Amino acid sequence: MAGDAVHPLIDAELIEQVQQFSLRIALAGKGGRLAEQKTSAKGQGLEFADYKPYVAGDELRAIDWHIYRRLGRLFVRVFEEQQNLPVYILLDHSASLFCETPSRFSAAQRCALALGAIALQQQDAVRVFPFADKLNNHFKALSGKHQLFTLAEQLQHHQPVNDSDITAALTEFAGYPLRKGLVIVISDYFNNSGMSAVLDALSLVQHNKLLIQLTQPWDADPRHLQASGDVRFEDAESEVTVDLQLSPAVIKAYTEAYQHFNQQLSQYASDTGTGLLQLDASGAILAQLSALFEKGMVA
Amino acid sequence: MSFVNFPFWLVVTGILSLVALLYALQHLKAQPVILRVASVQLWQEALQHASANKFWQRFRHWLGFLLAVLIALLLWLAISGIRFSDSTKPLHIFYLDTSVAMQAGDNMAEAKAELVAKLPSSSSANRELWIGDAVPARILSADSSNAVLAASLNTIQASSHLSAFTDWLERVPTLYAGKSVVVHYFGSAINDLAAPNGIALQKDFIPEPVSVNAGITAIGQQRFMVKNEQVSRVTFTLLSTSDQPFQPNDVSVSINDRPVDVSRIVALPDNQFAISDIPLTEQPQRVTVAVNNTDDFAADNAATLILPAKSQIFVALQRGLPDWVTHFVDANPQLTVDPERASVSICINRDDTCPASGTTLFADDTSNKVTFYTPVSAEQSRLQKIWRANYGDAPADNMPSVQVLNAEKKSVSMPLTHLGNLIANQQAEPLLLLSMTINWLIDLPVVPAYLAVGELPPMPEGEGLAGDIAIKPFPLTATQTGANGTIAIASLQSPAVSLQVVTADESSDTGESDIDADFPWLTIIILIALGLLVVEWLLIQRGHWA
Repeated sequence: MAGDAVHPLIDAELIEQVQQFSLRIALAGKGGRLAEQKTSAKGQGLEFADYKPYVAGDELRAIDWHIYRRLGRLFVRVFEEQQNLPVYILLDHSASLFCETPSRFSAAQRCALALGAIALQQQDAVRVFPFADKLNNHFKALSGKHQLFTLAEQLQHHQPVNDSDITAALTEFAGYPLRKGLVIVISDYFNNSGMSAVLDALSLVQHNKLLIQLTQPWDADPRHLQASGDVRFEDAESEVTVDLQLSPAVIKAYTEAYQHFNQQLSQYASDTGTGLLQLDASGAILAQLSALFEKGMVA
Repeated sequence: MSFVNFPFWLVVTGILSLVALLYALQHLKAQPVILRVASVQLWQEALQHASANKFWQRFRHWLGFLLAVLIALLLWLAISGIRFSDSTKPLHIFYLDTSVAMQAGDNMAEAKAELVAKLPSSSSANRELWIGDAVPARILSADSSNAVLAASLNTIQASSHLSAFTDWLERVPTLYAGKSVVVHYFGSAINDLAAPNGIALQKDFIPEPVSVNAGITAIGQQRFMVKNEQVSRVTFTLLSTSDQPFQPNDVSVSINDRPVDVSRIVALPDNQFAISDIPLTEQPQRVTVAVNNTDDFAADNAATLILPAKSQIFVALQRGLPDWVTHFVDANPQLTVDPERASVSICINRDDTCPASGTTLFADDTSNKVTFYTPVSAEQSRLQKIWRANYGDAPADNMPSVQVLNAEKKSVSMPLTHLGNLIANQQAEPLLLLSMTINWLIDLPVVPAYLAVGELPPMPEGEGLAGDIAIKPFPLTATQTGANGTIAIASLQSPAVSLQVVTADESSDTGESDIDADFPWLTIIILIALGLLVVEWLLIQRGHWA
């Protein structure tokens, strides 16, 4: 079995630590396999939900004979059916995630693997959708702890792609007839069309959403770039360059622009009850994921 | 606009070179730091909103280049000595003569006071002040304030030199070509002095004539042998505006500051005096003569003469020389026969047996001529002068005539046989001729028999003294005629000062071209350049004011 071998992406310590966490959403979509997530489906399960009048075809074992003796009518017990949670991991592998050291993509891989491991641990279905210039839906859903190696394999081999379009990927994903679940979007959310277009695309996705924003320290504070004077910024995905003098005024203007950029994303998350984690790609993954679960940011 | 330090073409060439150099250096400027980032979108937004996107910031590199060019040009113009003056107005040149005649009475103080009073009458932009030293020099040029000009006069005093104003005035049209010049003269120039064409001369101060004066007008020495000892005789001449004859006790004489007893001073006719038999020593001695009275003019009350040191010359003799030559060399304590260290050889024949040394004196009995060979053409005038002074009165058939020819090396040929005949007839001049010739061959300064104060001393070979100056009668131009017809003579104190005057005449061009840069403009230009430098650093390079 492939899962017996140690995958280079799998950090055993990280996987062990994240096992203590669990992914829960308020109501998973119906139609899945029996698992730990509550669904709106009534049927097989352990927790009693309600009574309903017996109709032909109902399970005879569900008839409550005590009520029949008292009321003379047949009622059947209805149980909440617990099914697995579909977890859709949208992993950005555009070139912008590869251009720095340490790369944002490396953090994205580890984060996706950690969250995927949690889902697999609780028998949920995990499906990876890599995207850059377009959405890749070739990977099938994985379920069960033994699929961790396969999940790592699906996360590992991705090349940087220029001219990415997160809005197109989200829009395409929203059009898929998928069972309602949890969508984890791991990206830097930089988009040439602006944050508004990204948020519009996110609104089309009718799933519970968890947004992982990959950041670097110099995103918020350019002084970490350790540059001064005349600077030429080259875009990682395009040929666009910006020549400027890294004066205090320019740094101030950039800081304000970045704060507005983040504020838009945070406001969206707040308004829609979407989980949001700003993951520092240069920092420790586990500590930041712990903060995610402690704050209950997962819907 | 003109340039003091450099010619116009050099200034223009410098400007073009600087611009080209700075333009080339633009390509060596530091390249921007290249940073690859995830997205430049936010930096683009920052540029749109930041004040760094102001219009001029886009051209900051060109602005920096232009500022650098401006700074460099300002500094270059300052170094070039740029001058701004109104060429339509005449240039007023104030010439304060500090020659010897200005030492009389309060002439100098009154001249300076008059000068300070006249200065404000002219614009500072068209005014210059010249000090009439032995080398006239412009101490302050245009654009200097009255206060600065007046203060600069405090330390100026008259000194013992002849007035150079006449020569300087002749050069003014050359110095200020194309300019209208008014010369304001403060001094004791000759009354009928005429200004060159195009130059206006105003005698703004003429001192009162000297009424009472007594002084030394000439002093000199003659060196000769007395009982195998080199001695010198010093003679001097006194002159007074009164007709009173002088006595030996009217003067004080000292040698190296040791007083000479008045009994050694011998009065000669026409107020001439002599001190005989002063032994020469291994070191030069200073003889000071001072007149024991006070008058209006103190510059000629004392004179100093330097006596030469006792000399020793090593000679080499060829076999076959006349006996009188051998006897002369043996008897002369100045001469020592030493072929190893000989600097002069005396030969009867020009062959291999003539000892090789620095210079040679040959016997030449083919004609009755003494021929001096010299590489310095100026020697001709001086030798002829000395010859006339010493042998001019000798009968032509007795003393040989002199001729001077150009040659690569010094040498002399003379008719030793004929001179020997003269000696046999009890004439001493041939011995003196031989002695002076040997001294001339080894460049020992030969002091003439009598040196008038202000007269040219003999010049060592190679100092470039022009021949026409050497034979020119040296004028004592610092004379004044008083109202009652008395004449005051401004003499010089020593031959050293005479030499200075001659040097001044030769190098006057250098002195006049050594002009101070315009101080205020230089300061202003440098300050502007420094200010622009700070502006460039703050505005362009650092962006602190962005």
